Amino acid sequence: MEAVTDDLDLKGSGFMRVKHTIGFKIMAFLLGMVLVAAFINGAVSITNLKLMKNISVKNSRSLGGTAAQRSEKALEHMAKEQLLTVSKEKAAYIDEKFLEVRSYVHGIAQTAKRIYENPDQYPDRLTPPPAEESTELAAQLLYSQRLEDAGIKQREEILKLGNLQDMLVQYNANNDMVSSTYISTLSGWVIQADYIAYSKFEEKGGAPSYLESEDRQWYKRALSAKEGQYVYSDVIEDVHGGGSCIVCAEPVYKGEEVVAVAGTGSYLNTVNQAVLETSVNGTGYAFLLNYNGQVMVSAMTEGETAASSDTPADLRKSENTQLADTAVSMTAGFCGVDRILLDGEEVYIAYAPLPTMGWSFAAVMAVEDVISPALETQKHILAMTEETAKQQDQAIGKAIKMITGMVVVVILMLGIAGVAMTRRFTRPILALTRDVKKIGAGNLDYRTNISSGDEIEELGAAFNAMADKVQAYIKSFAAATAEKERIRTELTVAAHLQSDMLPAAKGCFTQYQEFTLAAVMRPAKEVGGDFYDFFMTDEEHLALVVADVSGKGVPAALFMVIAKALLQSNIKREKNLERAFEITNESLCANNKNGMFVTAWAGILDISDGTLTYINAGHCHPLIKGRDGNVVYLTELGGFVLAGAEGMTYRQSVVRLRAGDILFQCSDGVTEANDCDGALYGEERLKRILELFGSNEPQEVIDAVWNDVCTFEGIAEQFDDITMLAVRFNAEANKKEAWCGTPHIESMPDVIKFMDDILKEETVNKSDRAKLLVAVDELYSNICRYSKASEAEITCHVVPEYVQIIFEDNGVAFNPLENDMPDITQNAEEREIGGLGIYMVRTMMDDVEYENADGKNRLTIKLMR
Amino acid sequence: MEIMKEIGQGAMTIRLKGRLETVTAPKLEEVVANELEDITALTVVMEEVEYVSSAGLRVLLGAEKKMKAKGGELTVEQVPPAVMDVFKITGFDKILTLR
Repeated sequence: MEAVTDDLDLKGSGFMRVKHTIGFKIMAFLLGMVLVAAFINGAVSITNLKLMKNISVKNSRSLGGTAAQRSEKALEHMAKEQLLTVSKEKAAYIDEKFLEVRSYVHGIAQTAKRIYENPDQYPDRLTPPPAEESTELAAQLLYSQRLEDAGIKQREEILKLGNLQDMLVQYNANNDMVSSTYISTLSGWVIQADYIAYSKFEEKGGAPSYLESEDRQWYKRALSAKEGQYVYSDVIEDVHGGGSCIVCAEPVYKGEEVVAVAGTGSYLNTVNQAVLETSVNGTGYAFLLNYNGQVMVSAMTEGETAASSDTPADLRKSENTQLADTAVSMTAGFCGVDRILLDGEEVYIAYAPLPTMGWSFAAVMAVEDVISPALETQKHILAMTEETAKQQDQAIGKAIKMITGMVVVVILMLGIAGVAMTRRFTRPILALTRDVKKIGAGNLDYRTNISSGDEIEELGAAFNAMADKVQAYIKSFAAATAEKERIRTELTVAAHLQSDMLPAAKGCFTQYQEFTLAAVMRPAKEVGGDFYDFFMTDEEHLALVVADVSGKGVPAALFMVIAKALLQSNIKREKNLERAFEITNESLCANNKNGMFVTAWAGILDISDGTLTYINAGHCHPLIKGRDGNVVYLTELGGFVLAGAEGMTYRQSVVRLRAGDILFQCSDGVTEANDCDGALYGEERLKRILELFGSNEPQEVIDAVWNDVCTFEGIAEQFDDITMLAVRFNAEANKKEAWCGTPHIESMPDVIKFMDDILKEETVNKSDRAKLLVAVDELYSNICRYSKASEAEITCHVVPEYVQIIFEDNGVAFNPLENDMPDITQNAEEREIGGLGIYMVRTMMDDVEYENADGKNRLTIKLMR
Repeated sequence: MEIMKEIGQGAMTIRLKGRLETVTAPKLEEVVANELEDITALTVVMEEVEYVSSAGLRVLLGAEKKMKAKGGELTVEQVPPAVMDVFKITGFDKILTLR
């Protein structure tokens, strides 16, 4: 855009240089707004993201804690449930096994009872010895040693009981857990079914080994049991070598008497296995507690709940009170879950009763194992939380980058779009600017041609319309100006003519030292009706005229010419103002068809004595400013205005001007000057400015009044012609006052008196007078004594500024100024009086000059007033 | 110029009126020359003197010398400004005893 401006090269065409283009401003504004918006948006987004992250992390952390806590509880609950369920199931399973076995025992006992009570119904049946080397399940007849000792073979009792052998075999075969089934009579007989029948016959070569049932625990216990009641042996080592075993037995009553005991030996392997296999979720173990609080079977080989081959301790009496309490509950046949300290570790212990045996099954599981998944979960959640926080931080970072990237992209896009847009917008403006500059540079025929279809086009059209109007106006203005210029030129010529008619005050009458004169006429229009005039009517009389023709402009100027010419010629001819006015009035009236008139003031100053004779015909009052600064108006009127009426007579007045007095006369353009508010300048103000103004120099007085009038008028236009005339009378000073005579000391008093009279007349002050008279005394006495002159002349000039006295004599040439100056520091005795006079003169006067010319000594002294 | 004299015991007061200059100075000079024989204290009152020229100064200087010579004293009294100017210009204000 700058380039375009430069191309135009319209320096000095009046157009300012563009500081910031519209395009620049639009771009700056857009980019600024986008930056601000992006900054705010970004700041808000990032702040929100951070806030969200903080909330999320906080929530995740608390969630982790809560989840862990909850899951711990759930797990605990679940584990307890599971543990209890397992215990119950296992207990039921084991109990069922025992119950089954017991049912066998009961079946054997019942059948035996029926056999005892109804032996007739059963055939005799032998119980054959086992086949050699047989390991088959087989029933065999065993007996006590005391029976053999008594020589008793198979009695009826055992023959009848022999019917049980199939049952015994059957029961054994049916159940793995069963190691042996048997019926043992009080008489000492035993029928037993098992897999090791033969082994009992090996020892004695076909006869069975003795079996002493009385020694057996189960047998003893059963004897004391009631009918239908069953008993258990302690866990014992099986005689058959099949491992630990427990025997269930039931007495067989015949009437009120016990006749036999039915029993079943059960391997505990199955039970053990059931116990040992017990675990929950791969951890934990189980044990069996009998009704005495002793551990019967345990998966633990050591520790508080370990099974012992010796007589196991009663857990109810354990030092571990928690364990003891649990053992009490277990032996009491309760079902439940306890959390206790076992082997220094917190465990859950779930237990369920085995009703058949009066035992209790317990499953144990470490608390840590139960809640470890919960802790794992918590750890996992916390780890997840940290991970999430990290991811969120990364996300925030990404967001910042994305926002920044987006801002950059938007700014770039906006910049490109903005440049394009502003170019589009400003192109017509630039074109218009260029065109307008062309028109402004003076090519008024040029017209802009913009078709942007918007306000710019409208503006262009408006410029064209304006250019049309300007062109038209300039054309008409040029024509009008030319016409006006012509008239103005003519008027200027007329004004020149008029001003040429008025005598120039400057440089005029320089030969007359008797007066000093200044005058001015400033017309309100090019030509005016005011005029002044001054001329000498003879060597000693100065005529002064100030007049004002009614109206202004060309008519007044023409009438003024006539009036001025008439007044001058009449005054010159008549040398009498009254007569001159009368004649002039008649002449003017005779040719005055337009009813014009002239106010006029005229005076004749006798420059020899300052006598001023004047007539005021309807004009302003003149003023006299005395050399003492006193100002007075001369208010006498001498008659009617000139050309006002025929046959008028005029009467003159007389006033005496003293040396230094100034006569000031003006036209009413001064006193009737208006200020902006329409107030009049007035006679009072004129009088005051004359009083206040220090100088008595006519030109300076006129200038002072002019300046004051201008100040008063301010911006108001000069309404009327202004004419001013000022004359200072210097008369007596310039009229040389001289004393002439033969220099002789006797004439000294005459000389002194002559001088003193002049000085007094001129109001020279007492001090100056004394100095001047001392000088006259000294110099005249010198001339008398030394010059030998026959003739001497002493001339005195007094002007307002100074007094000048010239001593001339025709004696011997002598310059008193060449004499040595006396030594005024000498004392009375040493002092010589010679030369003191000249010294005094030179000291007291402001200027002392000597010259010798034409055979005359001339000494001039000057004292400033 | 008028000269008014008052004579007392060995003292004289001269009251001057008018101008003490070339023409009038000789009158005062005559008084100084002839009438001061018995006078030791001479007083000149200048109150009404308009001005003094060098001729007047000469007479005053003479009187001063004369009085000094015989041990007397000249006193000039009531000197008007115009006269005082002359005295100062000429150094007479230092020579004469002014009061």
